[in-house]
Amino acid sequence: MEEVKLHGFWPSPFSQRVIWALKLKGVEYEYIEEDITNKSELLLKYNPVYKKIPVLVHGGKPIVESLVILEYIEETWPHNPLLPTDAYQKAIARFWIQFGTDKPCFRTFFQASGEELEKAAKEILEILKILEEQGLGDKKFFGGDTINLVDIAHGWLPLWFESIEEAVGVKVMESTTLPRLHAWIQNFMEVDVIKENLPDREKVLVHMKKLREKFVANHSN
Amino acid sequence: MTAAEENKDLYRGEQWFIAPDEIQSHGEVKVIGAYLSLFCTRIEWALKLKGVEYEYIEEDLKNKSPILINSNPVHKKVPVLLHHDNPIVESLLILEYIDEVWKEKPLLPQDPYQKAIARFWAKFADEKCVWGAWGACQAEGEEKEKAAESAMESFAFLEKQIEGKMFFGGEEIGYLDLALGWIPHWLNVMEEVGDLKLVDAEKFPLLQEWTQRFIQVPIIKECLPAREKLVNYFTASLSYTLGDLKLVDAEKFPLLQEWTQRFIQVPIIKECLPAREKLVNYFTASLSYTRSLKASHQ
Repeated sequence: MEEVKLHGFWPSPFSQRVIWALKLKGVEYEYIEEDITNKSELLLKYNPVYKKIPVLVHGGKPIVESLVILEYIEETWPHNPLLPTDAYQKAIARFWIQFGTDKPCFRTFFQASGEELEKAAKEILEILKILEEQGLGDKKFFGGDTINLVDIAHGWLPLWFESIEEAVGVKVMESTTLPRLHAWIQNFMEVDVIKENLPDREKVLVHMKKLREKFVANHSN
Repeated sequence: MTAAEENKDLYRGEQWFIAPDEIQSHGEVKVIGAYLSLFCTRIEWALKLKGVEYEYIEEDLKNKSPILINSNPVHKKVPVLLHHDNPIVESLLILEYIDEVWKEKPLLPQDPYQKAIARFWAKFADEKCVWGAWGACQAEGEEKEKAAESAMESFAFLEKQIEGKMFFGGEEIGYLDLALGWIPHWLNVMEEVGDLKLVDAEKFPLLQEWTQRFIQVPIIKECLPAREKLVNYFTASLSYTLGDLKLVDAEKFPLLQEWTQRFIQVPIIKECLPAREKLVNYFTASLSYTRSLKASHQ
């Protein structure tokens, strides 16, 4: 079996996605912690385009962009499938994997204040409402009875986005406005592989608060 | 029970599965698209390469049809592929679906690593190159220079990727060629309208050679929208962004706005109006002319 290495950063939800997928597939890997304030030569070599983590290196070959990595893992280790086998269901799953991820309003929410922040919060609420109503529906998980790549893709909402909400001082995900998503979060965090593979919540909150301070200072300039 | 109600039970309330009543069920495969859209042509190329017959439905994006809204309730965008009335949306996802259902002439590499690379570059190009190029076309002055530089950095990555290959897919065109297929035709027009050159034989010789090879493939060539129509469209989009001001609207002048609605409905008035599109083109051309005069006097 060829060597598997993961270059990640402990508070990053993007590298966490990859950890969850590898664990669910029972793939052994070596984890390499990257200091993103002082990026290693190796990281820059593996990801010259974005210079970001996570990077999965399989048999010396690098794969970058967390969602691309998830698909790669699914294809390379097809046991315990994390995507539907039916082409149409797969297309739907992929749609929801991509939906809402990497929308500028999340970045704005983290960085802005005042009116801009309010607007971003509203946009995020709309996105999450659609995710909840049309993506999740009445299901326990996006994957049905068990989690799949869609759950993993949105798995940053508990803990990570919750920490950002706390750091910013604005709560978007209320159980009253997003009841189904709230229930999904409770169920998701109970799944063994997820529960056993989470960074320290307090440490993540401290990290997000520090970032928030920095953003607010820069944003007003 | 209507078809919609039947489907709703089947898919447990997930709205976007509902088959719109207006669609007749002849023809398994339908494409809802817009003639000028680079995202839609990708889909037609893929289907033609696979020899899949399909019905094409042209969408008026300024007046979106119930069919489109029902098939893509989340984004209300084209393209949409309808297969047995099941909608698939997002052009790159549609390409993946087509490749999985019709297995002859595979578009994506079989090897998972090569597949990951192709997916990476397609995503990269859509995010950085399409919008990077269009952003540079729209910008002016110093901002334009900066935007152009940034766009060219992105194209430089593509130049590296085509090195030593006939097509991004290897000996034959594949998924990544289709995803980048906007470069030979659409980018060309954007550059003309936006008055800048991002990809040429001098800066990116290998990419330029690829564009020539790609555009000569018969199936590719036959799906290209008329260049003149693209020029008009991008020109209009550009001036809309540049002109971009609203002097009379319902908020500022509600009574005046109401009068405009009443007046324009009077039959004799309505029948003498010149075609809006022609007016747009005329004012667009005048705007560019005035601008170029100003520029040459600075």
